[in-house]
Amino acid sequence: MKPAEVAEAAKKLLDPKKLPLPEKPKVVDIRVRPYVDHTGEDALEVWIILAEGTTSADWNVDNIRAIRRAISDALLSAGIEEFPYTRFGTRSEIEEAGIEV
Amino acid sequence: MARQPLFRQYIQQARRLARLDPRRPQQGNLRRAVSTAYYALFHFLIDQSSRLFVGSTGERESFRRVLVRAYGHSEMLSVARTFRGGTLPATITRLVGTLPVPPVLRNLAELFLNLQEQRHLADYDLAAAFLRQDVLALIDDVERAVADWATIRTEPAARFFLICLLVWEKIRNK
Repeated sequence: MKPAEVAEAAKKLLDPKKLPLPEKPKVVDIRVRPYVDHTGEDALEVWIILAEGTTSADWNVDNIRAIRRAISDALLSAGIEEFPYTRFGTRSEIEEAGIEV
Repeated sequence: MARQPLFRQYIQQARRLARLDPRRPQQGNLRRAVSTAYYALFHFLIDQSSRLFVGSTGERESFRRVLVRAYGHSEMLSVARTFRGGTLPATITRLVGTLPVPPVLRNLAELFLNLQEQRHLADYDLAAAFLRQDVLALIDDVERAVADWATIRTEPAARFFLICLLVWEKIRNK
């Protein structure tokens, strides 16, 4: 599959409503696009958009790992081996930082 | 007071950098925090791996300090890529048998991959931007990965992972 097709397939798999995600922090969206990492490998850039007002207590290692694990397992079990480089933020923080997702 | 290992100093330094500027974090501080968090994990792994190879008592500590120069970022990345999938290539398993990769080790491998990429962005990509909470969560993850290591350090897959960090390019296709 071409990188764009992989990203499209990943986007369908990474529907927050279908993934086994923790209750908190609330994931409102997952944005996926093709990515080439610094070694030249095809990969995926995955932005996990969290609900506004997410507290730092909810944004903890256990919850973040559970989200990453759900994403990684969903991709690997569908045969998508491109690594998902994950980043987290609320929509307002992402916009304020000028990041396009 | 005993001096803290370098990786632990780096974790603390990364957190201090990420928490500077109470109102609006400066990207320069967040970039250095990401880079420092990566080096915390890098140095932790080569510390553990080099101790497994040569130990650290008596003259072995000086040997170990020489050995740590031999570790490379790209070789370690390649090892992390292999272990994150949970299964090792047939060229390896035919010799060492099936080595189930515990979830803690998979997490660590994925964290290493993620962090090395973010470190590259932080150090070289002027268009990249970082979010404080995202960076703090990465630092917390490094600290947890170091703590979790104690739960798997004697497992065969973990020991083999440490060996691979140094010699992967020489053994992967043999």
